[in-house]
Amino acid sequence: MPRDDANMHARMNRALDSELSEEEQALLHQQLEEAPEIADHWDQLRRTDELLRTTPMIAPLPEFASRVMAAISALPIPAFVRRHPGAGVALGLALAAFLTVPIFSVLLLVLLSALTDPGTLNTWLRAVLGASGYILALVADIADELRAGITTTPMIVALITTMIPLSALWGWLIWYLMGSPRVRRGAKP
Amino acid sequence: MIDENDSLWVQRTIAGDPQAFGELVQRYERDAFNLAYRMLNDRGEAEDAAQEAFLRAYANLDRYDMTRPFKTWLLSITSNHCIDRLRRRRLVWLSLEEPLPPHPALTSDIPGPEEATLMNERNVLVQELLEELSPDYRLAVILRYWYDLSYAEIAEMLNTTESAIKSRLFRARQTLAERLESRPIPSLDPAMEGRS
Repeated sequence: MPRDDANMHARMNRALDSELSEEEQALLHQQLEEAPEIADHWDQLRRTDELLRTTPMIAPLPEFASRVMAAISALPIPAFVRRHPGAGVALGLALAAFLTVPIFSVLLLVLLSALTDPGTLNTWLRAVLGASGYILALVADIADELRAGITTTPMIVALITTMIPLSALWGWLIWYLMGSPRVRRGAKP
Repeated sequence: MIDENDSLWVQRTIAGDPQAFGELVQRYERDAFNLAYRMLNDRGEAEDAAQEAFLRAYANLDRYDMTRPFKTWLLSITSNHCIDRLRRRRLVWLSLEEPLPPHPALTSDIPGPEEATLMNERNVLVQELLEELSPDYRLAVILRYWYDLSYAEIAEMLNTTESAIKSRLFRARQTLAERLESRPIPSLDPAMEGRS
């Protein structure tokens, strides 16, 4: 019967992985006895396998882990890391939550008492109207002052409408021609 | 198999405790370094590669699938990085613009006669043999022998089929056996383990 070397090699490979049944192992041993040159190769394969199996792992230097951790601490915090608020922020939020209920309760009570008492409501309305009248009078005074100023010195109007925009335009043009930061870097707009 | 401690440390890291990642570093530094050293055959480069693998793992921790072992994920990152480094080495070698690298005897991690007495000779022999293999074959051998991973696990890590891994390992074993021939295998000096 012709020898099937390819199958024999595959069987040897499986033998190294301990995947052969007892029957297959017996067959392999029988084939190896009949073919001394293949038996030599099998011995070499087993020696190689033994060498690799029994050679231990190599460890890094003792300071390796601390070096890695130092490099990690120098990295920016990754986006996936969930940030926790500090103790101060947490205390502040807790205090705010604690104070919210009494403050809103007091405000509600004041509002209800004002709405149910006509005297208080009247006082409040007077105060609001008085403040509004004062603000309107102030705006009117400022407008009068401006009008008077424009009438006596018309140059102000001319400056506002012509000189200031023109100066700004010239300023921008000079800045642009001198080379804005973007132009200097040669970056595309 | 998923290690519950690993999952816990990953979750704590994601929750904002970077020191929890330190536990993972201490636990798997040997695995990552050994893989890098076996692949690159240079202690300094292996430390850099293993460190880079841990940094990448940390930066991409949100992509880690907690249903898979952390160790396998880390080894996958390390092996990809080592393959990249080996490719870059080859590009430097082939580039006409770059000056030629010095002779391998001057840069190799294989020690000279004096140093050899201090190093584990067996490791030197193993590294010499692994250097004979292409990076893909070398990786299959390393993952199989030092990490005891199944063909299916190696195939999943390397994005290939189980039969491709079987074939690689089969050919790698043939090559290694031919190279080893009748060379004596140095005895293992336990005192040198982890220091060579």
